[in-house]
Amino acid sequence: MRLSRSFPRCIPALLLAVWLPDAAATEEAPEPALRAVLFYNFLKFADLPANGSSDQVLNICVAARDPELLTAMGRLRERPLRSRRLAVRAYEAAADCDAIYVESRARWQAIVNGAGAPGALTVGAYAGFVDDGGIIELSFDRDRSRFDINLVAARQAGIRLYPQLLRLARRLID
Amino acid sequence: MHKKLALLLLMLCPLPVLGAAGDADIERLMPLSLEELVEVDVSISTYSKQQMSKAPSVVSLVTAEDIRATGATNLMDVLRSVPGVYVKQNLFAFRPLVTLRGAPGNNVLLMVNGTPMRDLLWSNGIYWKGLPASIIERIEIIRGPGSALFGADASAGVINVITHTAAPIKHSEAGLRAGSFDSQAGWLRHGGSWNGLDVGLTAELSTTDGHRPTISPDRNGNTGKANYEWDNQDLRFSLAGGHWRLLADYQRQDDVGTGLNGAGVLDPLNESDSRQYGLALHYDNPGFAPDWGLNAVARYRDVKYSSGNGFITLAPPTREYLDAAERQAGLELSGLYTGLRRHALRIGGGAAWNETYGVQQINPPNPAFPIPEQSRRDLYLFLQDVWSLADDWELTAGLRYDEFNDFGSATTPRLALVWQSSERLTSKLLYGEAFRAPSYQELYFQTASNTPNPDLEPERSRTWELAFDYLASDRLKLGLNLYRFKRTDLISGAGGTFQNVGSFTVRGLELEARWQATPSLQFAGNLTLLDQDDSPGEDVNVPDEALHLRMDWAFRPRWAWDVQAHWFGRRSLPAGDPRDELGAYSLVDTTLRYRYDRNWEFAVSVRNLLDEDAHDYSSRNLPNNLPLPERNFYAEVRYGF
Repeated sequence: MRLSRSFPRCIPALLLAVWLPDAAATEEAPEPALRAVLFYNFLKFADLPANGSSDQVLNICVAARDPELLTAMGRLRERPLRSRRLAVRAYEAAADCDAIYVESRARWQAIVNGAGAPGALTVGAYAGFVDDGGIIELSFDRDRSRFDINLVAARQAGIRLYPQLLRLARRLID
Repeated sequence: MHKKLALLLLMLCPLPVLGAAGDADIERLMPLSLEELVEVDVSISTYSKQQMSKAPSVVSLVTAEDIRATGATNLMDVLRSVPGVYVKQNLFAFRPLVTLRGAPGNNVLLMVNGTPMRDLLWSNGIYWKGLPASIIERIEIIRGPGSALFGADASAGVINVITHTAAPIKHSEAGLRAGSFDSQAGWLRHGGSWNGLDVGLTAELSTTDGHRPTISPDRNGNTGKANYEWDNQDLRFSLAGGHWRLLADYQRQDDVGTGLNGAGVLDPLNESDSRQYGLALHYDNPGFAPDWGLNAVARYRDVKYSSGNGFITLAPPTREYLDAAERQAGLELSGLYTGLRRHALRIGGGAAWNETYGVQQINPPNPAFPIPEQSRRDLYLFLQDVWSLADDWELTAGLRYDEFNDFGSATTPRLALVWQSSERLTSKLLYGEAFRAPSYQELYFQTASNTPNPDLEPERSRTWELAFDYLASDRLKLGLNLYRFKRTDLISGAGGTFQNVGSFTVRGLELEARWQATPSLQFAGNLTLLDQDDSPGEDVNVPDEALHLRMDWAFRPRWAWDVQAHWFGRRSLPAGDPRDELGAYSLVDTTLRYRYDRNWEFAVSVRNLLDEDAHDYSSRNLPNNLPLPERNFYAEVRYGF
């Protein structure tokens, strides 16, 4: 009993004796911002077919209701991507969308049951998105982002994904 | 009170947006390559909180970053600020009892990494004083009934503490703290890998003499200082690989000064101790089979208490000795089926088993009241469906059935309708039933004042809630919860024998706000109002009104200043207590933090800055109630690596 009482009082010496390696700075970011920037990067590594939008504008549609995600996606607006600039809006119909961010299975089913997403790069945020026919499934595992890719769906949409993107995918459906 | 309410309302008024806080995050991430982006850690903060706003419950989340900013050293420091929570200190060992929405602590299920901390003999341990803040990654607090998911004792709510474990430990840290009451603490947190497995380790050792309040007088008319010293050791180890996680923990409390015995007699000599260890093996596989995820956990926990050099008795003045221990084991298996369109169906079941052992008593004045060794077994099944009725509507329906070997069965349903009313507003209508299992004492212990009753039924409760989360702007988030919480079949020993008697209803309001005034300045606050009925079931020493305000200001690069003000309203006394009711009191805490470089960080904290003479309720045995700590100071240094 007395030993345990005296033990904590030795803490400073014990801890200072511990070898403390050099710091390695780790980047940290809120999830909505990270999702938005990853989405932007997916677009950078994809050749999209001309899909009804102009040569100057790339239309991003967000099928989500999460306000913080919508805010983060909104901050991509007017950013340049190759020779085009991004337009961001809430998803209403697939017709003018070059890329669609899908929050839930319910939203994806509504899209599929409607006009579908022909020619659009689809990025989904729920487990099973690529198995449901989506192209990129974005998830988080132990606080780090991971993505799966359905190459079959990409080909069907006429989209070419660059090797830089494919080699970082956790799972490829081909 | 009115001035403080006015201050809160002023805080809630929409003010001009000065710039978007999230812009900085986007700009910081944009230059990173894809390889670098997948290495970025997600901070839990806002998005998880947002996800929580959609949860089919009223949920509060406290992150490690919150804890660090406030200078909290213990779980109880954190819980104090949660809407609806009042942490009431007990005269015996200055134990914290967590009350929620006007219900006593035995209606609040406290878990660590999903393992219930309750024990048969003493609820949350006879000397349990919370958990060190350094081991906590986050705390999830469900306000409202949780029995349909978690079983017994979750009538008022559930507190689940998630500790730093393998894989999520990416930032290793060592720290030292010293302060008032001869308090010292040191901690270490480290994560690494070994043979392809993630390994995590946390350790905190601490000692304090406690605040040694002057008790004048005690039950016997004596004046003296209550000895509330204690030493604590908390060691946790975890291993993770693939879908498996192994968690092991060991905690020990030594030289715990009980200060006063349960009857309010000063006990300057007693030093008790306890220890507990736990093991849990988790298997979590979201892709176990097509459309199926699988979760399983096996747990074992062992707790042991000793009265050390004996508790002082009321009369004649002698000492009684008590050693007791308990084993707990549990197994739970559940599957998540997502093969049905618009449904996510979770089905599962499990078994929990508790057994006391090694009970030894030397109790000279009351040799006729032995503590029996008993066991309790609970077999349960549960089913929950999350049904996406439409894009913006989600209905969660759940049902759990528990079969206990000692007092019978309980069936607890829940329903939650969540409507994403607009892009900024989430509305919830919630209904849930819950139960509290009769305690061991109520079922089996004969004491000088109470006779047990093995025929007791569980206490039951029904709660209706209406909750709104509103994102008024990018920077201002508001929450409002209204609820009616009715407990029935209350267990009372007022008549000598424990019996199920009567009911008790609480109506309450919880208002929360968080405002990011500028990228470096944030205000937050919450207001709790309770309307408790006048029946004997009222937990009289819980305030009907509480207000918490908090400011976090990074006023210069590397510097952060946190100020918290807590106001608790007056507390009524039981019928027949001739003393004046306890008045309202305010506590102000502040922490100043300086990050020297990416490794070193320094902080100083002052608690009860205004040196308020605050007291917690105690029975008439302590005529002047129990004094809370006076102004106290802490300094800490952290090294991150």
